[in-house]
Amino acid sequence: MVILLILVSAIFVNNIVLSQFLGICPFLGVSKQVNTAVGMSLAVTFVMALATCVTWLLQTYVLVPLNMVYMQTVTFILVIAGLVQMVEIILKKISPALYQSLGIFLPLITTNCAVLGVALMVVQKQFSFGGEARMLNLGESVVFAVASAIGFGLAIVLFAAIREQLQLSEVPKPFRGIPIALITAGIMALAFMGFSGMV
Amino acid sequence: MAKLESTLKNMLLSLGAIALVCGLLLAVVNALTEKRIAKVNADKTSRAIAQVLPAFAGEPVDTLVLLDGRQFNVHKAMMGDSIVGYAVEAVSAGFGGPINMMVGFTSDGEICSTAVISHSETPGLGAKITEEGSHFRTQFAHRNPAEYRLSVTKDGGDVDAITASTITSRAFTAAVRQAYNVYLAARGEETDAVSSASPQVGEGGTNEAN
Amino acid sequence: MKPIDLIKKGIIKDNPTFVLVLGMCPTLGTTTSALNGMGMGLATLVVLTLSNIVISATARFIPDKVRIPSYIVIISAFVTIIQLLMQAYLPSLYETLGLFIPLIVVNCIVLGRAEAFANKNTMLDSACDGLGIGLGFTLSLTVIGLIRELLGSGTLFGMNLWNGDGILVFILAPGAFLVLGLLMALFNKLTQGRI
Repeated sequence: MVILLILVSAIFVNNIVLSQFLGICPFLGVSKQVNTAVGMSLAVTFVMALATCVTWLLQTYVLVPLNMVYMQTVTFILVIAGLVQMVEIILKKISPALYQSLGIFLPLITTNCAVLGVALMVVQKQFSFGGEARMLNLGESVVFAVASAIGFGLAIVLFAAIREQLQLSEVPKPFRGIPIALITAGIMALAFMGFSGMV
Repeated sequence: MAKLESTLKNMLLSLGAIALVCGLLLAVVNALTEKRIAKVNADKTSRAIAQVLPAFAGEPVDTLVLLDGRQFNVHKAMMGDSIVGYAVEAVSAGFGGPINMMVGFTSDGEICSTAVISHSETPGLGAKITEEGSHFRTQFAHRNPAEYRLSVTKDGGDVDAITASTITSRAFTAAVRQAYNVYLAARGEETDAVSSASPQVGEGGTNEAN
Repeated sequence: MKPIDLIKKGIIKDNPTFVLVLGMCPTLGTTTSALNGMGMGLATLVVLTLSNIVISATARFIPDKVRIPSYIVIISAFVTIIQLLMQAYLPSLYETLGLFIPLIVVNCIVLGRAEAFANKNTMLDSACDGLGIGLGFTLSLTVIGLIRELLGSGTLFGMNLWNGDGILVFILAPGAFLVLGLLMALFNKLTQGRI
């Protein structure tokens, strides 16, 4: 039940892109085609789940016992950068085909604020389930990370599909490119507001 | 001057040196700000206590009350020998995240006032719970939950919800209800302790003043 | 280029929000009011200027292959310092901006300037560049915040301009996208062909 709540809330209600404003750069940058959008969201899902798992363990078993929570931002971003490098190397070795399709997105993920954002959120924020508010445990954190990544994927793939159509239409010159994309995203965000109140 | 070459030794040395310097710098800044941050947080709690209770003297007595397997902070404020009231910390699930609240009760079980410590509700909608003096906030004052039904009118209670923010209003009301139950439990514990010493205090009489 | 020109360049010609389209997350996420936008902009300005200075000073001691991780460590150290100082001295602003303060680390503007400017220019020039870009960012965020606050809650820097509510949608998530999109189109229209 808790898992289901986390999933629905992270994918639809508190969508990481459209209501939390995290990961906007790839959302605007890698959403011109549906194919690349799918690739990006797969890579993000993978890194986000892994990074959240590692940073949660680091926070609980290293930073808090050593009373060094102030090193949080530094260590988390280093972990994420390191993980991205590692995933890149491993992927290159074991699955060149997958590397071909995901490889180009990996370096972009280090500076995707959604990854660091989710990692920080699960160790800083209390989550609320049916009247009760508490911190997430390791399993729930990873579920939350995966759900957030799915939310990111859903938003970016839908958005890419709209933008593919948009290319065919006549857009007034000052609106071309980013402005019309932002306005489209605004209308999508309006639509996603309809989910609010579900959880 | 030419850049350092990317040999393994140089890379490890420079990265290590940077990490060390940054780590030390952060440790220093942390040591300098730690006390101040702790004080800011403590001030926040004591301000909230002062806000929800009538004037009291000295420092409130802090106790932990266990209810339904969860711990709650209760602050008892005194004026001379008499109890001014109890400030109870409560938390409930709002729309955007947890709502942390402080609810003050007078010693006869009446809600004195409420304060929102932290929340992540939508600005302009749910965030209206922080507006002091609004109808939503003042309607709780001087009510006794023994006869005032603590749930929103939609759910058959006496609380008028904020327009278009039913979930937030429900959560706020739930936190007040929770605080009241904690208050009763806190009073119960005290009365138990007192009643074993002086039997004339009524059995578990949670609502009477003593 | 003279230092003053470097500062000017960051405000209009290289405006991080409207021209470079960088740092969109805080631009959308923190501009629910003019003050919040300004606070976020100033926090970024401080981090950007300091990290630019330090990176420009240390660039020649950092081997090429580890330069990005080194920059990230330097930037995140400054971000944490700002975070601790804000927690201690501006707690209410810190609470409003929340997660977006530590996320300055991954703001593409900061790493971008380190990589594109600071590591190959003098300390003074890097400081001016950071200051200019930072001011440009602060200005954009303040303007967006101002418009959203005015339309959304009917207030100006927290002062009530009229009684009653504003058009709520502008301080909610969709309003952020709409206002920024429209402003950007306006900016394009006004500067067409001139930048």
